[in-house]
Order: sequence, then structure tokens, then C-alpha cells
Amino acid sequence: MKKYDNYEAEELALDSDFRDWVQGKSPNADFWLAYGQQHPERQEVLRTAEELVRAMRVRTVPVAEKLVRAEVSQFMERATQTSTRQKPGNLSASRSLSWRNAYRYAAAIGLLGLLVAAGWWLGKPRNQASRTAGAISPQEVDMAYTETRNSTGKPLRLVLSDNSKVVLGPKSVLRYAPQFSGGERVVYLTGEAQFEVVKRKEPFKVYAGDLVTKVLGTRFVVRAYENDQNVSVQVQSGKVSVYRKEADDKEDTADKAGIILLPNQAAIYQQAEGQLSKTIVARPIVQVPQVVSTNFEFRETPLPQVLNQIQQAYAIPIQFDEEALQNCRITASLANETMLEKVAILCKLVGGRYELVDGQIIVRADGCR
Amino acid sequence: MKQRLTIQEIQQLWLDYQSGDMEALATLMQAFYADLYNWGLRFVPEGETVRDCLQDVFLALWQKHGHMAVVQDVPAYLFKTVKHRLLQEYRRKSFTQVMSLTDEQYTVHVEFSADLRQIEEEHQVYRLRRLEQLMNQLPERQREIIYLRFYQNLEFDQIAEIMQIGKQPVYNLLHRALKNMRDYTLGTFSWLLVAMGPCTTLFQELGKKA
Repeated sequence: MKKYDNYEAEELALDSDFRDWVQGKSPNADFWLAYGQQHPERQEVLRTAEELVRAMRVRTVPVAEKLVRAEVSQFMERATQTSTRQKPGNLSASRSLSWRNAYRYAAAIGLLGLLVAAGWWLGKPRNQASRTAGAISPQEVDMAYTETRNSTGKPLRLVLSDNSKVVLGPKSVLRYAPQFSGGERVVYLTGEAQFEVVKRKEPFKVYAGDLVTKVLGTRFVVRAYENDQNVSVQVQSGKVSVYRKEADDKEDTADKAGIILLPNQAAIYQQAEGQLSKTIVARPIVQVPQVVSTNFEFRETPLPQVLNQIQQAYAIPIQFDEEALQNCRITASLANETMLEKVAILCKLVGGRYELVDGQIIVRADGCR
Repeated sequence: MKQRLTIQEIQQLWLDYQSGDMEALATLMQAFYADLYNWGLRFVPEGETVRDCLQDVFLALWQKHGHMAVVQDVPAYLFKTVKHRLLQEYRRKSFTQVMSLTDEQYTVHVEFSADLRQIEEEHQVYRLRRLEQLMNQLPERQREIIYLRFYQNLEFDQIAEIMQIGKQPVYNLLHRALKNMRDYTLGTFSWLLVAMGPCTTLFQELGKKA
């Protein structure tokens, strides 16, 4: 033990062991009791120091574990969303809005429930050993592809070495290097999987059927079952490019005859015809929640304004004749419908129809008088 | 008792975060959340604002993970960033009312509440209450230091970085605060001694000392 004989009261009060003793959590309680008894002349210094420590207790608010977990989960969700955002402009716009509301919105549409993400994160044992594992030579990586086969009836969560997350569908197989190396991150999929790719400078490629999906960091679903004629890629956020496998060997700069998919867009590849086309996902997700502050409630609103709000919110272009539709006034509550249902209802109201062409919606209507 | 990370673990998590590991940053957030939340409440006593601020701080960290400068002391850096952010926020909000707020002019809500556990004797309770009152009258900077040192268990150089002053001034301020406190109580009690006469051993000892 230290020599405390020359300590003034305030020096004692600064000593962490003494403080612990006063607060009843020192492992050296016996020492302090004995010290007091052996040094009667120090009794008063000890008492003063004790009082200082007691008086220094700060009034604080206890922080519940539950709150911490919820806040960390919200951070994870938010960070995942922003890290896949392409334009920096979007970010500042979403900041001005209370992001808590944006989160509730996202959770309500049940994109990839935050709680699911949180549960996954908290349930996962931290494995420091695997992160700091020594470098593996490229040859070893080639030898050592891991294959994960989901033979359960439920989706299976995987995390890749770059921390990208994969939800592997039932009866699906994913083949990947246990440790990505070299210039790209490559995985091979049979079946269906949702990817949440961590943004890195190395591109992330999913080989599925005859199709290659290449991304830098985003969230999307690839569907390529062996007995299925079509391969589909659906984008939830970020931006991906999709092209045929035979184009993969060409130079990066060359035109790969692929297509670029934005959020809520999807690609369908018909294997038999070798045709790759762009469409939109079945249930588009609101991408820009601040656009829908009115929650799709319309009162005597001109139709072009309504359509503009919808196309901005879902970030999917809608083509229409603004002038012709200016006289159509819409009063409707469209909060619960999917994007296509909304458009269908609006078309019905004005006696028109819509088409899906190349990842866009075209509204055809004559207008109102 | 919550689990504490070692300095090495903190450093490793920070390195992992810098190389793009979001989970590492989330682990740091989890580990420091309660302390930083509590710290934040010292400047803006509104839970909602502090929670938003912490989200913003960690999100901003995440967004610049690729180009973060080297951080010597992660806890001190986090405490400093949270404080800075909240004061900025506060200034922005109150801009119209308080034009002249500078870095030195801010309010720290550190309220002492004496620990009266296992104290039964009335005069001791009285002394502690009096001491508590005096602590709460200390200059705000001194209370901030006491809070960081004793509540958050930070070292002097960490406190110096958070408060953006030298290490020696931190130590001096703290020492002076406690010394004044002791002298003040002793002074008060020697006066009481005269008024009440020597009734307890404690007062006799105090009298000798004074």
C-alpha cells in the first residue's frame, strides 16, 4: 500500500482507493480500518476526507440497458441507410427532418425491421480472433471457399468478412471466400438472398445464374433458383449495375450491355430469351420520407402535384402530361396502399390507366374538365 | 456492474471502426452510451436532445470513418465531441436570445447530493448537508472537473483535453476546490464551537485543528 501518512484530507479524497472504500467497494477495506486504528492522530483527516467524498456524489439519472440497446440499434439502422446513400445532398435534407420519425416510418413499412437487425447484432458473439486472423494468401482463399446451404425453412443470417450482411433464403446456397482478398468481393448464389453490402472501394459482385450484380454498397435482393426461368435483382437502397455473365470478362470501361438499377427498381433476366429488362419492385419503399409529411393525404390537390409527390417519395419516375391533368383535383387518403396501388387508384379516379416501362411508370389519361 | 472495456480493446475497436467496421463503432457506442448520455445531460438537461446529439455524433463518426485523424485517447475524444456538439446546438437554438455565448460561457448542471448512507448521527448529517450546499456553490468549471474526475473516473490529462485547458490547471482547480471546501467547513465549525461549547469529541478535534 502507498504511504498515506503525509496526505492532506483533499489528497486522500482524490485517492481512488480511499474513495472506493468510502463508497463500500474497495477490496482493501481492512487496510483502511486498520489504518484508522493505528493512526489515531489521522482520525480527523480521514473523517474530513470521507465527508468530502460523500459530499461529492453527483445527482445523476440512471441509464437503462434497454435505452442503450435501442439507441445503438437506431444508430446501426441509420448508419446502414446513410452509408448506402449516393448523393450527399440527401443527407443534409434528411437531417433537418426528425430522423426518429423517418425511422418509425421505415420500421412501419417493415423494410428490414430494425429489431431484427438489432437482434442479429446483439445475439452475435464477438469474435475478435477472426477479425485479427493473419493474412491468408490468395491461393489459400481459392482453395477455401465456404459454402453455406440453408436447408431450414427459415431465412438464415450470415455475415461476410467485410461485415456485409446476407439473409439467405430457404433452399438457397451461397459460396464465398471466408476472407475476401484481391480487388473485389465475389459471392456465388443459387436461390434467393438479401444483401446489405458495406461500402468499400472493392466492388461487391453477386454471380447468380447468368447474371452478375455489381455494387459498391447497398441493399438488394437477388433471386436465382435453379428451376426458375427468371433471375431477378431488386434494389432497396443504393445503386447497382446488372449485366450478363459473359460480359464480365470484358474491360471495366467497356459497355457491358448492363443496366443500372436505382432504389425500388428491379431487373428481370429471362434465361431462355437472354433478355434483361428493368421494372420496379413489387412493394416500393419510401426513399425520401420528408416528401410525405402529409402522409399521402390529399384534399382538392391537382393530380400533377399528387403524382410528383409520389414519384419523389419513391424515387421512381412517373411520366404524365402535366398540362392535361392540371384540372384533375384529387381528394384521397393513400397512406396504406403500395406505390402501384396508389397510382392505380389515381388513374381510376380520372379514367386513365398506367404502364410500367423500363423501370418507370407512364400514366395515360385525358384529363378532367 | 456493467462491463468495462480495456484500453487495448477500445483502441482495437477504434482501429476496426476506422477501417470500416460499423459493428466496432456500435460496440464503442454501447460501451460509452450511459456515460456520454449522463455527460450530455450536464449541458442540456433534456434527454431527447442528448439522445439525438449522441446519434448525430456517432453517425458523423461513421460517415467519416475512412478519413479520421489519429485519436490518442478515444474516451476523451468522445466526451469532448459530445460536449462541443451540444453547446453548438444550444447556441444555435438560443441564438436570438443569447448572442454572446462563447466557449467559456456555458452552464454545467452538476448538482451534488451527499451520500448519507450509513450516516446516523444528526450532526454528521448536518455537516454533510452543509458541505453539499457548499459544493453546489463552487464555480461551474470546478464542478465540471469534480464530475469528470469522480463520477466519470477520467484521468487529469483526459479532463484537460475535454475542457481544452492544460493538465496542471485542471489539477490546481480541483485541488483548490477541495481545499477551500475543507477550510470552509472547518471555519464554520470553529465558529460553532465557540457558540455551542465543546460538546463532542469531534468538535474538540476540529477546534484544535482550526
